[in-house]
Amino acid sequence: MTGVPMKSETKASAQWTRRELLRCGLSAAAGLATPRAAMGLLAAASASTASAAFTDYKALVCIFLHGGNDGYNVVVPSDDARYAQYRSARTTLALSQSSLLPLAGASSGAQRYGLHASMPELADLFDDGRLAFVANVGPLLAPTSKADVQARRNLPPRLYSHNDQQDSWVSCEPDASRRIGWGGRLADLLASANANTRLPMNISLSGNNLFQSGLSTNTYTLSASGVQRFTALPTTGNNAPRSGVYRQLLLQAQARRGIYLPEHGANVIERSLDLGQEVDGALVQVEPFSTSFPGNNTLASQLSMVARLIAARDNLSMSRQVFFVSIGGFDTHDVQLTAQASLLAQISQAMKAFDSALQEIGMADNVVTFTASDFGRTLTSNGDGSDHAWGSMHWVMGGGVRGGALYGSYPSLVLGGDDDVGGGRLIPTTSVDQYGATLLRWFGVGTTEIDTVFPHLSRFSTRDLGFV
Amino acid sequence: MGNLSKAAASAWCLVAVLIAACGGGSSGDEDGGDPSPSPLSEAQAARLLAQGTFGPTRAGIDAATGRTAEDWVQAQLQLAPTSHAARCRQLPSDAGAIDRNSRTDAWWQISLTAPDQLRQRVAFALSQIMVVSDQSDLGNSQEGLCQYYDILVRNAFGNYRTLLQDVTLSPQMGRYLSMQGNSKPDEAAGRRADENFAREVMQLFSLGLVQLNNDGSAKRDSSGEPLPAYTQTDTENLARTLTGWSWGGSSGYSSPVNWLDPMKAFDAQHDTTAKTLVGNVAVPAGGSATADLAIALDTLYRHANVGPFIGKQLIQKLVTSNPSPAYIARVASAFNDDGRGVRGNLGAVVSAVLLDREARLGLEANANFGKVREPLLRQTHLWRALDAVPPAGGRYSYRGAQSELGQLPLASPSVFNFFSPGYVPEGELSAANLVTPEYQLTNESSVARAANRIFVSLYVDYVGNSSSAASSIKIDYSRIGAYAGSIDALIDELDTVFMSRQMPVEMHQLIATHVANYSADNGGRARAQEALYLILTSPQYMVQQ
Repeated sequence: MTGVPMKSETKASAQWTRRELLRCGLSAAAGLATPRAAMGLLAAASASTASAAFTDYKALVCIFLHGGNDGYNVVVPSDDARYAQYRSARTTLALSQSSLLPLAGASSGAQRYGLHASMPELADLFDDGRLAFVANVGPLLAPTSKADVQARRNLPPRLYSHNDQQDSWVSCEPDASRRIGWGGRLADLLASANANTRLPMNISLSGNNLFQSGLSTNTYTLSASGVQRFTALPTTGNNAPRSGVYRQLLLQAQARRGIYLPEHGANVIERSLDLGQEVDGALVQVEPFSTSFPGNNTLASQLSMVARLIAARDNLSMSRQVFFVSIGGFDTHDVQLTAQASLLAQISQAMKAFDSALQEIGMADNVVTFTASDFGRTLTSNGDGSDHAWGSMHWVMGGGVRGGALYGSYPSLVLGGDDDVGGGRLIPTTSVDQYGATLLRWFGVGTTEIDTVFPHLSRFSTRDLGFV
Repeated sequence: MGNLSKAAASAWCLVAVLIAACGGGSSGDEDGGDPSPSPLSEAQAARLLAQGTFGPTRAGIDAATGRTAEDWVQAQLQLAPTSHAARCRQLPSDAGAIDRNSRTDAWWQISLTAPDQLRQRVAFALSQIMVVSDQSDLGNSQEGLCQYYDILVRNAFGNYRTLLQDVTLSPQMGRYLSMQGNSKPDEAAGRRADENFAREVMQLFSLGLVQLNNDGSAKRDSSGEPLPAYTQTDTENLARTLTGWSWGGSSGYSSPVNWLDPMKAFDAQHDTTAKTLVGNVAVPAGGSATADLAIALDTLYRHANVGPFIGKQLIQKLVTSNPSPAYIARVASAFNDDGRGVRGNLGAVVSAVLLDREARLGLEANANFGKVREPLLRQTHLWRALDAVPPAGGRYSYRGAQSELGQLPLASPSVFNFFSPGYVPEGELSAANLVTPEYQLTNESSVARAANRIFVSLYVDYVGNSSSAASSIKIDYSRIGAYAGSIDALIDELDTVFMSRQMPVEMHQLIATHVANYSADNGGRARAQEALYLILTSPQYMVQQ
């Protein structure tokens, strides 16, 4: 009887949320020590109806662009009429019309679009139908108008703050008192999707993150260079007894009653020891790729390791996986034109190499890669940079993607327009819920379960944006 | 949950809610911050030093034992600051440049050996609140970054208002959050003021996101929603107020870059229209950049949020991740008035943080007491407690911190630091409404990397080992090894120095049984190594209580 009473002793306020009551009820009724254990039961129960056993392999790869990518300098209206509006709003931040790489598939009537000149690889992927853009995506609690924003009606908390907007983006339940990510909720639901019940569905190449945080499931973290092993804790040889003693130390930390801070550390260390050997052993068997990943490119290094993990899927007995990678530097308040160009080039080259590697191992149709970011940026300039805004452009890559097209509604870039809440901060017209739900349907998740992952999805008219 | 018993669930929840409603804070009913001054025991001395230094040493524990905590803190407050810039200039590269190694070698030397330990520890904490990072073009001047660190060292016990101004006008912060070169708006050209520094100085360096009571709790509206501390309009107006600053010294507005002098005002680039700041503070039209800056910084300095917001973060960095509201309120009150009518006296704040009854009594005062040790502080602790010596030439040349420990001073990935004050992993800890900021750096990969660093420090880099690289910082086993004739004495000594005598009995017994398999020869080194590896990589040691 540790979980529930301990929680109450430390709770500052007596105000309990629906979620906590739900968890509380579950753990109490199931007679389990922790809410986490209880959610595990729920997940197992729903997974039996939701997913059964998957016979194919699918993976989602989230590329998080830390700092808030200026999406309206990624895909730019290139027809004369709207380019003029773009140029007028963006002033010193405007890309030249002639530099844009044509995105023929995105055309609609007289409307034309071009891609940032640093992304020729993505332009090729788009032309090949392997890449789609989704316009003006961002966190919303419901369809939101300019009047709603002015009246502060139903808005995600603390707009324009980096960490809060990141949390809103990846939780899609920003009004909940305690947040987990939609990648985590997905893994909770599909807890029994993989024959391997030891290795979490969520794997991070970029440290701890809210996106993959679930109630009943963990995230396994490794680095772009691979698995870190404890060199002093071998399981055989002269020093094996030290490993045995160390394991007992972990058990002692886990056996302490009540809220005991070291317990979490012990759990992480235990996972590191248990899974390190297994994952490392599977990676060792992966044949080297003939695809070469660009050097001096942090995103490419992470995606290279993701490709290796996907190549090791059968040895690891995984049929559904979610990977998290990231690249930083997008908070371009300053020298934006040069800084963003360099970052976009890295992304473009890294994604191209990743797609090539996946094709090489026959997995390109089984993997969908998508972008996420804190927020978009102001259309207006602060001199040579932009400030924090809201909706932005995102893109999705994969053999299964209905690429070569632009999805969602590309907003008017006229300052003071219906989507502009000031300074060219655009209200998203597609919610992250819709973007994510579209990905999940491809992933093989049923309608009811998608609504569980995205509890606000039903507030939006389109459940499936159709890009995959 | 159809097959679950809803009635049983409801009953349990009712009990839990009632306990929550009646329980209250764990120490809020006590009055007064300071326990009656009494001489510190050896274990109490070790606890205080774990909170207020880069790691207890045997000599430090001996010196503090028998004194009062107040006496120790007072003595530390009097010590002269050790300058990082001065030291880093003495450590140029072979080519004569002040480079990153100059800066970090100076940091290791000062953190490991300087007498003004408390000041340096607070400066390190401030470096993770008022964050700049060389993972940007600030890396072009490591000397400038040493000067930035000295601002934190110099003002660690000074006044917050001075600290805030020195940080604001430093070329490092100016460049990092782009206040440098932030020009007055030009509507005709479609140019706004840059909101970067204006937003982050409020969100991260002074107010935080929501309005706070003195005890750190959020003020709420009638529907229970936290009240925001400032609006987007406040941010835009502060951005305009802070226009007109650029490179100092003899530099012009745009060039040349000057990383060493404070920024200076360029009134021609300053927005002189009237502005209204957070809390409806008026900035009258026609003010100079300097005059408007003073109004802006005074406004932030006087805001009621600063005491609880900065006070709580200092508590979290030094003492405990989840202080009681009453503890926060006592520290915030020390910020609000140091007892002599001065607001923002950080020496008084640091004293209040360390001398509070909750800090001194720990788990006796608060069942959730404690914090995860920062990876970098575990490494300083190891070297300080194990009598580490620098390589020949005296340079403390450890350059692996960023990759091995995931942390390096002034090198975080963004202004949000290596870890967030509100981080908690999902699970028991979040269910208990606790935060564990430093656990943000703890994952399957980082724990193994850190353990391997500890392994090298213990088993390779020690005095007398011919296979240790000449450039390594080396621990000296002669003192610790001398205990190894008695295994219990050895573990007790390590328990004191590393765990403030809080090692659980079963942990002591487990390690003792293991160590008994090793010989006491070679000055007891093998026994010391085994005991140390198990302690320093253990989750029990990972938490400071």
